Amino acid sequence: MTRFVARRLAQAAAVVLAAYTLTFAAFHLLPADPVQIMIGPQNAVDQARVAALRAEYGLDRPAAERYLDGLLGALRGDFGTSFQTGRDVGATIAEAAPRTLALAGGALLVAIPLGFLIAWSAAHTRRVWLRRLLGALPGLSLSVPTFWLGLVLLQAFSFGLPLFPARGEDGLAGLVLPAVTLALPSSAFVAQVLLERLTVEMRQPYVDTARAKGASRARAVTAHALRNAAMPALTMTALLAGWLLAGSVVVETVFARNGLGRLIESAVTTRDLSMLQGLVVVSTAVVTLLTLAVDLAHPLVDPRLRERAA
Amino acid sequence: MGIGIVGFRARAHRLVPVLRLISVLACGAVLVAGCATADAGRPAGDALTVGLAAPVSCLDPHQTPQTSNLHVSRQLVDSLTDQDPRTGEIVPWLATSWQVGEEAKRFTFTLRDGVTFSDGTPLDAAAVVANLDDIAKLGARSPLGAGYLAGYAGASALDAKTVEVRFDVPSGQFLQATSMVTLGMLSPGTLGKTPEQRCAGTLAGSGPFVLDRVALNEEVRLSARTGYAWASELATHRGAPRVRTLTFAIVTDPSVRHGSLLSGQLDADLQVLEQNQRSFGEQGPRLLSGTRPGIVFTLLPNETRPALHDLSVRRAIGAALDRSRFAPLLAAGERPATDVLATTTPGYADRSADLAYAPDEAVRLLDAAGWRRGPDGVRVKGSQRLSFELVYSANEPYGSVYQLMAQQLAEAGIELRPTPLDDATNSARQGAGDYDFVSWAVTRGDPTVLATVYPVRSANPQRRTKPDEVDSTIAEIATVLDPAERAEAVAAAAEAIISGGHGIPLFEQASSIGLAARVTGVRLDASGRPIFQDAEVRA
Repeated sequence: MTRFVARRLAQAAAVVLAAYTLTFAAFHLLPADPVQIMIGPQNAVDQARVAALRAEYGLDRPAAERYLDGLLGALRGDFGTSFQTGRDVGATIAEAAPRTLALAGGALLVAIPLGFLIAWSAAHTRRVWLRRLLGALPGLSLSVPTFWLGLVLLQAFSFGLPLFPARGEDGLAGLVLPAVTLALPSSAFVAQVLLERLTVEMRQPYVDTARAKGASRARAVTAHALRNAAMPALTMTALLAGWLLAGSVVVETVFARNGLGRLIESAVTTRDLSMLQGLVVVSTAVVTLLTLAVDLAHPLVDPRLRERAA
Repeated sequence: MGIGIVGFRARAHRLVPVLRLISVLACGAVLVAGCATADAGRPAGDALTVGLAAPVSCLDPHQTPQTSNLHVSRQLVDSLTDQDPRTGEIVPWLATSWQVGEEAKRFTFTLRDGVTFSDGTPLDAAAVVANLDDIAKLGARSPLGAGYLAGYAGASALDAKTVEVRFDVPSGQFLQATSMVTLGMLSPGTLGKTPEQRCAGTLAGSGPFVLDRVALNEEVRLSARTGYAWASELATHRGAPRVRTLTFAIVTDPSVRHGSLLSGQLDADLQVLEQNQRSFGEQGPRLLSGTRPGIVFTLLPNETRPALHDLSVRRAIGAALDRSRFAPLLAAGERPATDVLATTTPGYADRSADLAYAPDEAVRLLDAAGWRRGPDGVRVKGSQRLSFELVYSANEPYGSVYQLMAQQLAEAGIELRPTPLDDATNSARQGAGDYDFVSWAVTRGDPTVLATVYPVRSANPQRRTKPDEVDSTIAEIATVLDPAERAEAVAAAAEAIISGGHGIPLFEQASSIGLAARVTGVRLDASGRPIFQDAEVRA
């Protein structure tokens, strides 16, 4: 068990390093001049001064040197300062993370029950049209652009009916619309995985046995099939975390909230390398560690795995 | 261990219904709490919330060149002078009077009495010297300030109220530069901090508002400076702001900003898109527009490209454009260009005769230079085609104007390919000179702004290599401050630019902000920045 965890941790470290390196490489392959972006298109600045500013920020140093410097700093937990804001990258991420966590938590609070409800209803119903309709819902809501969904919700429930504020101020009111926007595609994600497994499980002999012993269809779904079908859904949790983070890029921009997604968006558009490196390391670490945690949690849910391990 | 897990699992199993109930209750609670607080609305009268289109990064006016930062900084710092946006005249602010020495190399300012920074220190001659020295010392870190202080030889406090500023070379632009937010005054205590600390931390200026809080990517909150009594001559009421708090809410999506203004969640939208401007009418929110002074939006040729090296081609392109037809595509306050400078710039003159639509002249120039129509209608000479790529940022709202220009040029046998790019790619291609045309406007209420774009030693988007009369005529503008002499110098420079085809003026640009009906007293300064010192919110 210890060896398994150690090996997986080493793998996680390798994944993080690879992500760090790929980000750096992508930055150097994509054409962009961070200093020109900072100066902005509305200001005409002497080319000599642009070059001087580039040197001031160390952007004229060889790529290998900058990569190694950054890496050594990152290993000490120091991602440097943001080129755009002059703030410490670590502190900026620490400030933004709770806001994204609240958003993702709020979204999960809606997405998981909703996803379960859709999958459960589709598995439970004997009306074919309803099952088809429910089965099509996840695909539909996954293909709706989050950006558009957010704007529609704002139009309806903030500008039309003044129920919620359009800006992500602190407090629950500001969290509702962004959380729902992020929750709808996430619930589709949960429902899709769960429904696929439920459909398979409902055809298994043990469900017939349960029904023969007098269990209602609802009980057969809930108490028997769902427990087996929940396993793959659990595995998806870590992926869902990555998904929520990606979704927050759009949602936090539309709803004017600070958060990791918003930081990623601005780091990419302004070519703020140290900021982006910090964000990439944090998000890959979170996703890989969650995957590990989920793998370790499997035996808790599935007795068969426990026996095999023993 | 196995037993432990089984035990946990058995308990967890019993917990399931409870967890289910909790989650349902939590969902309900979120909705109820949300509905309860959203109805409360915002208090009227003492708070103003305005929507900013881009996040703020560094609020130090000496360092940052970015519009969104400077919109906020403008409320925090005062300047030696102010500029009347209608006439371009420089008027007193922190300086009550000034003298300009021979050849514009020496400037002496007399300061107003009783001005203090928000940290309590007095704004005296020594503080002004410290500010100018700071900007000079920032060097490259002050990309705009370095231009305003080009040739700076030093400043000294002649007495507590009098400052002398000296330049090595004529600096006719410096007087107007003192009205710009970049040369705004910060307290000596603030200047003692490192550039990074000033970007990230607090700033003390002498302005009508003080910085309370920066929530990255969300908002910047300012509060009114009690006892403020030294607004510029342009303010209708000279005292402390009439609103107690001023919040810049960062809302990057234009439709969300617009919807928030219409629904009363924002009191102002500081960047109204052209397509949203039509929804402003007699009722409800209104639009405030100001034509920006400086270089108008101008098509700038990359003269290292063989076909654009040909003067007849550059001049033919200017003649083939019918600028009057741009008008329906432009935003409020914008109009076809009639000079290389906008109408609100000192030194502007109506040169529309030189910019007239002359399709026959375009054809004559191209025929004479040996460019013949090819099979697809595009003119060719040898292996070269008159086919040009105009690169621009996709965030720019002028794509439809560029398309219309392409249609007009096609009639003369010239192909223009407007290519919208994301900001990063655009900056890279423009920086590398990888374009046939770019389209720029530079805002500045002084004719010396021409020196930022046209000379060989400037941003030089034309990639010119040999200085000629363009460079010498523009250099001449910096040596004179008398309006008549300036007009003469500008006329010579404009003539050199237009006849040399180094810039093809297109249209004048404007800043437009949307204001809620209950907000009054907001004005736009000469750079198109909103000023909130006078603002009032009716209950």
